[in-house]
Formats: sequence, C-alpha cells, structure tokens
Amino acid sequence: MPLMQVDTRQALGRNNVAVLPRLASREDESYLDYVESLRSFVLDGMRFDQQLATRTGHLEDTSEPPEERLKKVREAAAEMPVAQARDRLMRSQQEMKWRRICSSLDARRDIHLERLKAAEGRGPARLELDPDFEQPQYANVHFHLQPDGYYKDPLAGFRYHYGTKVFFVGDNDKDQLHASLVENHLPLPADGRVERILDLACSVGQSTTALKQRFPAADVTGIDHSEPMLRCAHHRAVELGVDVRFSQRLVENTGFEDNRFDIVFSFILFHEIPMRIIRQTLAEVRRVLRPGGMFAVYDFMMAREMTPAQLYHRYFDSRNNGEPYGDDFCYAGFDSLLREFGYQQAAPGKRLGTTQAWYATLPAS
Amino acid sequence: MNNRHSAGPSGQTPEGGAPLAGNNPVYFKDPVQDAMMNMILELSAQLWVCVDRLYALEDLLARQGIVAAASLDGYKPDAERAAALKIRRERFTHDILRDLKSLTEGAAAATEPGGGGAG
Ligand SMILES: C[S@@+](CC[C@H](N)C(=O)[O-])C[C@H]1O[C@@H](n2cnc3c(N)ncnc32)[C@H](O)[C@@H]1O
Repeated sequence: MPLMQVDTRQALGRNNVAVLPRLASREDESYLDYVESLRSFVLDGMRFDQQLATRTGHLEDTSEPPEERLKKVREAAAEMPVAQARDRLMRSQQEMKWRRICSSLDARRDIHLERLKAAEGRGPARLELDPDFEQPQYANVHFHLQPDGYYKDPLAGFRYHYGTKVFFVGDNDKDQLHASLVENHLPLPADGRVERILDLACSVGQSTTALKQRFPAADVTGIDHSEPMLRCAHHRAVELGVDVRFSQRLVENTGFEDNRFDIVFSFILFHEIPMRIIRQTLAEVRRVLRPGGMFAVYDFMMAREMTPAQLYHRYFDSRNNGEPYGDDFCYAGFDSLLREFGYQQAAPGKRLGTTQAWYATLPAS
Repeated sequence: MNNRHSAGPSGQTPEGGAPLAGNNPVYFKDPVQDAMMNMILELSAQLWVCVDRLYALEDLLARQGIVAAASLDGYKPDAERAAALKIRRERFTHDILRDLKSLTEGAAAATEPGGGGAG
C-alpha cells in the first residue's frame, strides 16, 4: 500500500540519484531492510479497518464529529488484541530503526562529519547559517522518536534522511515522492509567473532540489531552523549539482521582504508545530507571498474525513511516535484557518493517500 | 532501552499538545508480552541479517571461487538479485509473524461472514 498515492513515473524519468549515505556495513543495511519489510507487514498485513468499523457502527459515515467517533473507536479497539499487537509492532519497528541507523552512522561519525565539512562553501548550492540562531522551545521534541531530535546532533540530517527512507518503505528511495509532488501535484499561479520559490521547513532539501529541477530559471530557497538538516541539505544539493539556497530561518518569522515569493511550498510541516505557530506562519506566508501567488500545503488529512482505523492510528501516532501537535492540526480544520487568514482556494484540494493537498492564493489587495 | 530514544527530551511536550509516551511503553496487559514481542522481532531481524549474509556469501563463492572475508561488507546485489532478495525477505517476515496474522480480519473472515477483504 503506497503511503501517498502519487504517480511517480514522470518524476522518475528525471533519473534523479538519491544521495543517501551508505551505512557502515552490509549487515546494518540488511537489518534496516528487514525493518522496512516489518513496517510493510504492519501497514498492509495488520489491518483491522473492517473490524473496527463494524464494532463502532461507522464505516463510511463520517457525519458524527471526529472527537465523538474517536471515543467510540478507542473503546472498541481496547477490546481488540490485534490493535494492541499492531501498536506494539509499530512502536518496535520505529525503535529498531533508530537504534540501528544511529549506531551505524556513529560508527563512521568522523567520515560523515568530514563529508559535511567538505561540502562547506561548495556550489552550486548555497548555505546560510545564522550563528546567533536560537531554537524555539516548542521545537524541542524528538519527532518520530528520532534520537536527539532534529537539531541536537550534527548528523541529524543523515539520521532523518535514512529514517524517512525506511518510513516510505522503498517508495522514496530515489526521492520520487518529493519529485512527484512537485512535478504532478503543484499547480502554477494563475498568471504563470514563477521567479522565486520558498520551500518551508525543507529538512534535507528533497523538495527544494525538485522545485529547482521543475523551474530551472527560478530562484529557489529552502528554510529550516535546524542547522544539521540544512548542512545535510546543502551537501546533498552540492552532490546533485543543483543551484538552490538553504537558509536557517523560522517559518513563522522568515525575515524576507513583503510579496517576495510566487510559490510557497510546504510538505508535512504544519502538523509538527503548535497551533500558535501555525497561526503565525499563516500570517507570515500571507506577507511574503505575492498576490496571486501559489501557497501549496501537503499535510495530514483532516480528522473529520478519517475512517475509524485512521482516527485510531492518528491517536496512536501522536502519542507513541512523537507527534504531540498532530492532533491539534488534524482536528482544527485547516480550510477554515486558511480562510480566516484571507486565503482563497486557488485549485481544488487533492487527497494523495492519507496526505491532503491544499492550494491557496491571495487576492490582489 | 537507552533513554536517548525517548519520545521527547523529558517525555513531556514543551508546548501543549498530546502527552507523549515515555521510554518502554507497554501495549499488552502484561509487560512481559511486550518484551517477548520485542525479543521475537529482534531475533527475526538478526536471523534475517544472517540469511542475507549467507546469500551474499553464496553469491561471492560462486562468482569468485574464493571467499575474501573483507569482501562481504562491500557486497551489493545487482538489481535482479536485489529483487529476488526482497521477495524472500517479505516471505521470511510473513512466516515469522504468521501468528499475528491470525488476529487480523483476514482470519476472522472465515468465521465472520462479510468481514475481511480490506487488503
Ligand atoms: C517533517 S519535517 C518536514 C519535511 C520536509 N519538508 C521534507 O520534505 O522532508 C519538519 C521540519 O520542519 C523543521 N521545522 C519545524 N518547525 C520549524 C520552524 N518553526 N521553522 C523552521 N523550520 C521548522 C524541522 O527542523 C524539520 O526539518
């Protein structure tokens, strides 16, 4: 079962080579291959959607508020051994994955640090770090259980990149998910003008480089607050020979001038920040996106559209996979938030598996 | 487990949000069951590593006639072998975790007409 239903053929036609460090040994790679298979097994083989829907009396009907449905779903699941077994396996595969990724990267820590160092100052990609940068308190979470989180270990970018490789169970080994989002699921601004693009919370820059590949003439900037992510992103773009800029900035306070960007792109950021920061970010994007520009957001689907099993898994994931802010996002109603901040729909939203795409724009003032 | 693997630095969320499970969360009624499950998973992972290594060894033996121990860590299967290995690996995973399958709706479908089929 693909996690995201995107057509990756066109994107793969680009023959993109993923820059993923090889692990310390074949043994580590086979171990992580196994974890990947285990994850596939849990996702595809440990399903109980029908059982849960039958017990809660909700199969297709999503008219009752999601909070109410979740209550029933949790009561029903508490009596289902398969739910506990799936939860156990889900948590275990994640712990196994991180243990092995970290020990394997640590075994060659010096070499990996050296690679990051060697990329410093090399082009065509550019890297701007802020020596006075202070990480916000709310970001001090070990999202997805990644040891030391996103910014406390210099190898956090490599850890994250390998971790997401396993997470996407082979579907993103060549960055094809990122490429496909950019190539097939990103509409242009109505007037077609694309000169400057902002990739919000770019992590290791997989969408940032894909954006540059689709819009070679545009100036493309990826921002993130994590220095290790940005260093890894820069290293990767240097290896790929793609001319993009990575800059250490907060999504809610970017420091860019008004109306700068034609496209603001955001892949799975909003569910990882508290509601207060979501609101600040929507205001900030409103400021830096030009009227008529395209704000493309890809993130968790909304709770009100979830099936009983999806509600159950979201509840589990938020608590057991280090996603403390995920519920607030899913239960908030992102459409009405966009409207509240003055955005208009630029194109109908799309569901890509359990990911939702929103396409918003700003009216000429 | 090493506490570097905790959900958050303190198991707490710095700004609201859902409460995070700390280290070693328990999902079954008896924590021993959780431990047993982890043992089995780890065992099977390690066993896979062995199978995989043997496979590599056989391949190298066939190709070179001689096994150089150092060559094992550099081994990378070609696309065809990688695909064959992936199939074997999935089969392997399925075999070890087969009993859990019996808890799912596929098995329930036999006794519950109309159930199952969610793939
Ligand atoms: C789930 S990842 C985003 C995934 C990424 N877009 C990709 O394609 O892989 C979340 C990222 O957001 C960054 N982040 C979180 N809050 C941020 C903020 N307020 N400002 C800038 N970056 C932030 C984190 O450092 C992390 O790299």
